[in-house]
Amino acid sequence: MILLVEDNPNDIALTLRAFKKQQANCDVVVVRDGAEALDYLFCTGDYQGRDLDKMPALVLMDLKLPKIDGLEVIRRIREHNSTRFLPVVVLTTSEENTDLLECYSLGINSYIRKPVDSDNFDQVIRNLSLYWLKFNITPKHF
Amino acid sequence: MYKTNSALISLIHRFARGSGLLVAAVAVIVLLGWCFDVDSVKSILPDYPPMRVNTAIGLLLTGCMLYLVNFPRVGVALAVVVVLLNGIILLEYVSGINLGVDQLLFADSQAAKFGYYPGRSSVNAVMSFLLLSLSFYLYNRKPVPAYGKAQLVSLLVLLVIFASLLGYLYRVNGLVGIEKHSQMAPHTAVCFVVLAAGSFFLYPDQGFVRILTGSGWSALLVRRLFLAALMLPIALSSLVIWFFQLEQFSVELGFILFSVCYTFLFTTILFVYGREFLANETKQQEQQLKIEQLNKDLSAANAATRAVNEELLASNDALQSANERLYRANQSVKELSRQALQESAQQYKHLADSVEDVFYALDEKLRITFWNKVCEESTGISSNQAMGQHLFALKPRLRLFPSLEVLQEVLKSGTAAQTEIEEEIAGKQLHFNVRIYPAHRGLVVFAVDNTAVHTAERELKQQKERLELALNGAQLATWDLDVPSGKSLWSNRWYSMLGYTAGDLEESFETWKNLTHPDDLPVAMKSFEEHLSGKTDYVTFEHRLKKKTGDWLWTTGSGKLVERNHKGEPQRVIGVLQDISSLKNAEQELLEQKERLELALWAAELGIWDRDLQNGRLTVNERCAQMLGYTKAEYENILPLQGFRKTLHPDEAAQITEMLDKHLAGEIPYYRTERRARTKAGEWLWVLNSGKVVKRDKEGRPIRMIGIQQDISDFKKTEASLRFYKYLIDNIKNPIYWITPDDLKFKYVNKAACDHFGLPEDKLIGVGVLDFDINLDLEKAGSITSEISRNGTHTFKTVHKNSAGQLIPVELTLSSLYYNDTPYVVGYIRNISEQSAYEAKIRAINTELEQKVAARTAALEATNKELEAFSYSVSHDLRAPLRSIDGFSKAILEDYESALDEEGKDFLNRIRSSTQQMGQLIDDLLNLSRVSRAELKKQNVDISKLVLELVSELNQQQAGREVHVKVQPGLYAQADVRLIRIALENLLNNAWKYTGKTELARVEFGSMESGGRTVYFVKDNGAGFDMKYAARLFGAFQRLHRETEFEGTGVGLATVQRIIHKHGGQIWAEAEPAKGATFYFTLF
Repeated sequence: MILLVEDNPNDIALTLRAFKKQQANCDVVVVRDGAEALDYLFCTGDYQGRDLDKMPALVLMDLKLPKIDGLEVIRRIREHNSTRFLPVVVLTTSEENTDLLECYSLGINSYIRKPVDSDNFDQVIRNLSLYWLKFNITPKHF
Repeated sequence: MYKTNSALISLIHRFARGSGLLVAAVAVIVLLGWCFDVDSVKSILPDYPPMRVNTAIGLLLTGCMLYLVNFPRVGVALAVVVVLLNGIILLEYVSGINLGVDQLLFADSQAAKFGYYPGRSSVNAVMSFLLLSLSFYLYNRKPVPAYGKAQLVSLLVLLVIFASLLGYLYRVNGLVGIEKHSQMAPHTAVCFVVLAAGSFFLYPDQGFVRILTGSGWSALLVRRLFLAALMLPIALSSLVIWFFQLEQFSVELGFILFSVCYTFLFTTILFVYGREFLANETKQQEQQLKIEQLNKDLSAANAATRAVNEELLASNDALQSANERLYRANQSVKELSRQALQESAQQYKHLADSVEDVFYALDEKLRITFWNKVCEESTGISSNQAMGQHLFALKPRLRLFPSLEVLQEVLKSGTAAQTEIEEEIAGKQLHFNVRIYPAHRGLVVFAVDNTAVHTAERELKQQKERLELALNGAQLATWDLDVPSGKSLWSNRWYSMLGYTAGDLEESFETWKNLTHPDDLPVAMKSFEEHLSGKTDYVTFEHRLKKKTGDWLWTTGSGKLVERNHKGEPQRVIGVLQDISSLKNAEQELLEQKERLELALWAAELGIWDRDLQNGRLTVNERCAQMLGYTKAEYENILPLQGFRKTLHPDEAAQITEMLDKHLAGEIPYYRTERRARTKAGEWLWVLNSGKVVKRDKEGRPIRMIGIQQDISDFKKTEASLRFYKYLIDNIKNPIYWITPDDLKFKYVNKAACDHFGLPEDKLIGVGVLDFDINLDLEKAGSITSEISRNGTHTFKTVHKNSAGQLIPVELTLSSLYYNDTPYVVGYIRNISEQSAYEAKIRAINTELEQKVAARTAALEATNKELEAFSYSVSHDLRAPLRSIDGFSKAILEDYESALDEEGKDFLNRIRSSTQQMGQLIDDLLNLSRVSRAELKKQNVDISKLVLELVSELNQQQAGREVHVKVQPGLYAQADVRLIRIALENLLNNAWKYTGKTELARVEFGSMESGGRTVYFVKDNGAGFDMKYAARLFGAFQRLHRETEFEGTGVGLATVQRIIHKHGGQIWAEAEPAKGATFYFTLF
């Protein structure tokens, strides 16, 4: 399962399309802002009844988010025990160095700039799903 | 040394030899007598035996031998013959055998008559011959003749033959020969006596005969006594024998008579002679001494007087004339004394010969018993007339008689007396020294004419007195040097002159040399040498002598050589010494003054002028003329007095002429002007000219004026510049003062300083600077002073309080300064009261400005943030729609492929391409913006390595391209590695891009030096461009190629340029279409 944190509906559509094109057997849960992302991850708010043990294998996250900023979300993820080692890949349009520095210092696992060329974007999604869902191993519950 | 009379000796020698010739002549006559049988020749009288032939031959040979004594070889031959002949005869006598030599030539007919061996020489003769030969041998003995022995042998012969002769005289046959057979003929005996005497006196200056021939008193005495001893016994014994034959006299009586007479006569003679000699010797010695002494003194005096005379010639006329008189007198005295000496020598000679002195004898009744030849001559009374006459009965021409009383006194007392007699004859005063001796029953009187000596003595005494007076008057010391020994005699004055007491020093030439100043000794010695070698008439030299106190005394030494020995070597120099210290001091002082003056004139470059006001003639020194460009002669000739007046500068002429006239008229004591003088070249030269009339006539009219002239043009210039500087400093608006660092009191203040402190200059000078400073005390001033001495200057701010009590903030600059070796501190005051006000204003403005800047900065920062936010949103928000456009276009192309025709697909692809181009453009713009805002962080960058990395990236990205790359290794630069990377990336990208259509793509990176800077370049052989578009090359969004040819946004080179400019470098390009482009850049 992949948690996609993205507010742009175009981007959500294109991303979901890319994943679909991969024919990968995985669910993509989409949350539209930072608060929703946190609710989902920590089973609060609308996601109160969600099973806490079911954590996504990867969080794909934009930085510019409504309500709670992407960086804040990452900080909370890394602060919380249950989400400390959750693979977080930032997928954003920014390549500002300050953003890069902040994200890496917060402990993200990867930082990918969204390519304008959709061919490239498809390739990125393909590689991501292959890498994070198939090859990467993360510690289980602790 | 034994004195000999060479003339006498030579005469006697000749007589002695002559006697040989005489005897030889007699022998020849006798031989002729035998030859012609003339009996009277053979024998003198018939009663006497003849001279034998052998004897005559012997006498002839011996006579010749004596005569030819100076030809020893002939003499020896003769002597050998004589010895042989007489040896044979002697043998005949001894052996009694007739060897036949006796009558070899002539028969002797007379031998029977006298009873001797016919023809044979008597034994006496034979012996005499042998002895004379021996004597001859001894005279000629080698190597040293035995004169004494030869003379003794001769004397022996003389005595033997004398006996024979006396035998004839006294008619005693036994004495004529040794025996009857050997009777000697009387003329033979006489011949022998002559020969023996000749042999005896042959060398009168040798052996003991010289006792007789000497010229001294002793020789005279010996001669006389010898004569007496020889003659007296003969005469007396003749007398006695005559008495014997005449009357009946007993032998005893005869001997008594003989003895008494002999003793009386001999003793009388002895005493008379002895006394006379003694008296004369004493007198002569005295006179000799006296004359010698006088002579010495005279010579000394003469030399001294001359020396002194020369010294004092100029100043002492009186002394000069006295000296001349002395000199003349001295000459005459010298002449007289020389004559006196000669005369006295003659006198003694005559005395010695007993002939030339007045000498007469008187009996008890004063009757004349002896009257010598000199008496005859001097009195005009002959001996015959005088004899027996009473002395006072005579009326002589010259009364050489002592008074009656004197004579009677001598007679009475029996002691000798002497008296002086003065007689005048032919107007000439004669002086005699008369000595009266008691004699047996009478008196003997000698009168010696010592007129000359007497006169000389009197003259000398006067001279000596005058000389002493002169010497004392001139304060002269005398000295007397014995040249061979170096011994000297110095007068008391000599000692006192040097501060010694007589006898303190060893009087010698060596001592004098030691006392003489070493610098003066060579001159003195040279003077001595020249004089002694006869080149100069006098020794004369100036020299310093060391006084007992150790000081030097200037003296003049002068002297003269007065005695040389027979070889002409100098023996004695006498002279005088004069203290000339006062003269010398004055001379030295004068010399020093002159030198000082000359030096002063020279050093001061003074011209000297001297004008004769009567004829206007001018005399100047070289400097005086040279100063105005003239030679001495020119200057002296062109400037007569009136001419001088014309040379004056028109502005000053009247004033100077007036001053000169006033001085000439005696109204002002000096003439002194600083004026302009016209040089030869016609220019004006500033000179100081001053002078004074130094001589005026009785009416006070000026006669001579002397003065100096000095070039003061430099001084004038300096004076002017000094005035200028003083004016300058006085008029500087800033206050300046000088203080001395030890007392901090004003030594100088300019006008501004006076105004500053509020006091006039005369009130300020001497006041301490601390009185005006409210911040400084002595301690602080001390530390400031030491600061100044360390750094030379010190500037600080303080507050002055002027005399009116007003406070003035000042900035004070103090500097140390040395002037004439005196340390000063110069204070330079800047009034900063206005400046303080300004400063306050500026501070306020500054604060305001800072605030403004802060505000602006804040604003700028805000803008920056906005800009960043803008960039951020550009990066996020502009790209997002593009992505969507592209994504959905692709989705349509994929999902609705069948629904779209080819044209529809082409449109969608164009949309996608545009969106991608737009995305690139946004990225480039962001990059440019980021580069602009980036902070430059320079570090040492290995550019070669960086280029290689970028090339390797490019090769990876564009794997299909084959580009030949050349990178110069080892290039380093100070640069921001991030930015330089972007720049190089862009340039290399371009190179890759524009060589995309070139077959053999070539890209080169390197550097070169140009204008002292390192120029890096990136060169390719790609499409290049036309240089006319080069100006647009680095503008943003400017492209030189169509999009279809080469992709690009036109922002890359703009970014590169911005990076290079940010590094302070420059970038430019050279290119040619289709040939390639080269981008050059520099970095700082």
